[in-house]
Amino acid sequence: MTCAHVLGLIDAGPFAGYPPEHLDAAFDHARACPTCGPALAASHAVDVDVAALPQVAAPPDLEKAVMARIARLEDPVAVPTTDRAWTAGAVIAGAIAAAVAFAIELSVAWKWLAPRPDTVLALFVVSLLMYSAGLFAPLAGRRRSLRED
Amino acid sequence: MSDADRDAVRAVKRGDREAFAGLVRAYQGRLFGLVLMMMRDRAAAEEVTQDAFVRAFTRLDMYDERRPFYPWIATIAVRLAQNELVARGRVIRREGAPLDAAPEPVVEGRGQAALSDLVDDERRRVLWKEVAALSSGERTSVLLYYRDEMPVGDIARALGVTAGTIKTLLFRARRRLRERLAAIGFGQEHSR
Repeated sequence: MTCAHVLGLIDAGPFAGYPPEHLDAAFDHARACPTCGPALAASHAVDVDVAALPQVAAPPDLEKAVMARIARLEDPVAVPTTDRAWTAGAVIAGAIAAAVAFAIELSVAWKWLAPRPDTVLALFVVSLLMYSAGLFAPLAGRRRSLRED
Repeated sequence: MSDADRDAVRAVKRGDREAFAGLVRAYQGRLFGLVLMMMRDRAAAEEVTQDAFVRAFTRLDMYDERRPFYPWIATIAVRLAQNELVARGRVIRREGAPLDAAPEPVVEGRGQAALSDLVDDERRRVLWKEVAALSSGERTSVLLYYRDEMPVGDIARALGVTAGTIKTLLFRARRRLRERLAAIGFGQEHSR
């Protein structure tokens, strides 16, 4: 049994793939050997001391920061109230515009109404504006929410 | 898994998100220390530790309550830290190539200095600096195995390598640390 072999077994520690009697013989050699003895002692010190190294303290506001992020994940209030009100208003206005447009369309189709072309154009523009507002309102709200994150 | 951890996890799953604060309190020091040793950058370690807790919260339904909580969240933290390190250009090599080809230079950052200050014994101070100077794979394996007492299989899963690779990393780390202690004279008295 050579010192190089024993040193390898010492460094392998609990993962040395040899039978117990072989390891016992190796450690008997180490305890009596001026080369392997200090290595065995140092190896034991490594095992003990690494396990006993002090824990570093976490930053004082870590818990608070984590819980704040978790709160933002779940909390619908993260989207500002003004944004939500604006989004709801746009949806309602869009729904009213759609209903008005539908009623006018039916009236024209069934000849109940014969609107002037500029009236039709005005209605079209207003409807288009309301439709656009409703379409982009959620995106605007999302952008503000992300900026606050 | 401790009863307190299990109760906290179940409470969070029932919708009591404040119960998660107990888990954060219980493990933030261990987790932050681990990530700090991996990244050696206090600000980045804090960010990754936060990310790990938040990700654990959002994926708590994937957590197996029969297993201890710390290895699970440590795995999340280790992977996030690895991703961050890779993003920074510090490529951690995978199985098939050495995970730790060249030791990274020791960065005397605030985190490390603070840790060294905690170690009053000279031998342990040397050991701490040597642990900090190990390559990323060795350092992480040593901390998870010795200090966090994680089984080799769990460490392998966390690092995305085989158990054999972890044993090799631990072997190299033990040899280096042992040689360093011997170099400062430790153990000589045992041979006399």
